[in-house]
Amino acid sequence: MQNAPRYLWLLVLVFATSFLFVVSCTEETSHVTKQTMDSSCLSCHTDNDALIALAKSDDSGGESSGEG
Amino acid sequence: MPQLAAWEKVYIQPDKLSDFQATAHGKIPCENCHGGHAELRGANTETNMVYAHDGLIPEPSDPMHVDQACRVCHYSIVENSKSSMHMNLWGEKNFLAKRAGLAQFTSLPKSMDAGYNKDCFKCHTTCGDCHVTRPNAVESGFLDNHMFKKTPDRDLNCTACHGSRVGEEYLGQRSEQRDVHYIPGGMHCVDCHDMTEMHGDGTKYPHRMANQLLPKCEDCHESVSGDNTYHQTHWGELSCSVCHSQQYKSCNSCHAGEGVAEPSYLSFKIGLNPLPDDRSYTFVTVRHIPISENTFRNWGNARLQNYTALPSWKYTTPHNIRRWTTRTTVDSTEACYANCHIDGNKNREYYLLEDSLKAEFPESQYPGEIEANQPVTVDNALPAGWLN
Repeated sequence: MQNAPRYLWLLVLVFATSFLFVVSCTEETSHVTKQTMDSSCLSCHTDNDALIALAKSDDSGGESSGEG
Repeated sequence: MPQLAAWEKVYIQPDKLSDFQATAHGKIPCENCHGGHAELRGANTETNMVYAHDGLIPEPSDPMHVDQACRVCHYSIVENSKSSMHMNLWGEKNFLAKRAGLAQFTSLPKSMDAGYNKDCFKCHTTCGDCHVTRPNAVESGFLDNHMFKKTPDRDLNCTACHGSRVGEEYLGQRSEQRDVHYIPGGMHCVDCHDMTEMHGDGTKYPHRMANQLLPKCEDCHESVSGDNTYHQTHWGELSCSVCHSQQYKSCNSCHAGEGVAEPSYLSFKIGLNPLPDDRSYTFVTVRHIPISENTFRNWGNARLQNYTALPSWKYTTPHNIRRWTTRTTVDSTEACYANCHIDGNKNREYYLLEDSLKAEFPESQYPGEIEANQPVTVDNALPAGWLN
């Protein structure tokens, strides 16, 4: 028990390091998410004119029906 | 089902984007599941599209990628589905192997295996085929702006694959009347066919009907087992559809890579139960499936070596159930069995009889049909005197 205050700083250091690690990971993830969701994927896939222009072949108009 | 244009299949309406992004799946970076290159590169040019799609995984839930996509969060469902009927078509594979005279499907010769993968296995299902897009078998396309749907859409998912028989029957598109369970806004496929059946329970069933988790009419209707003379007399001996289904679709032959050789037709046949180990009824409705001895000739298999090993009239559960059918509607002046039991020539058309098989499936045109269906013809199982 007499050693407890001596090692308290070590405990605090471990908790603080873990906290900073979690925060940095979360920020990294949200950064990637935001960057991605604003990225080229959605700029095109929410733009019907661009999609139509970029569609190399128009395979519309077919008719299909399930077999089961 | 009309297919979507190429651009429509992958289009997210701008005003719906925030709805998707608000969901758990919408918070995952696109490239986490789809690969490719997501970083901004300027205008929507073809060059940038090619770059963005380099290494693209169009369907992350396909068997090659499902472990890196869906399984990360949905572990048990994905693990069970790996042995499910929906993903593997075990019944079709096992029946094909048996008719080909092989011990197991994996013994198929290379040409047949290639043909099967090209012409048949495209109908297997992935997670995305039911929860994100229309199935591949109908050329895919978002259900709703890349939203993940917990419950598949009856028309865009279930009957997209199970449409030409089950769907048409259920919706009354080819029967006289729609199924009694279908009322617009009423029962959905998943009300009977639950998640466990769809995803599988981890068991590799040899065929669909071997799964005892499949829904049965009695699950809901057991209480009517003694309600009337018909039920008191026949409950458990006849499958419910023997009395309560309307005519349903049958096909006589299909050639891989070509399609059906003859038009489908409406039929109603009562046969002997070909699956007594899986279902306890003696008499059941049977449907002719689209197969013949030379169905796989385009795969280098001139004739199935063991075609007669299985009946081509197969156990069926038509989805066009009605309380009153041509068999249960009887004039009050007649006996209750007047429209069902054979009496002379009356009602013979309802039963799978040897002489009618011979007339409809001449050996010269349909080799092996008579022998293959001996186990399901009812001649020797009907009450004495019916066929005299």
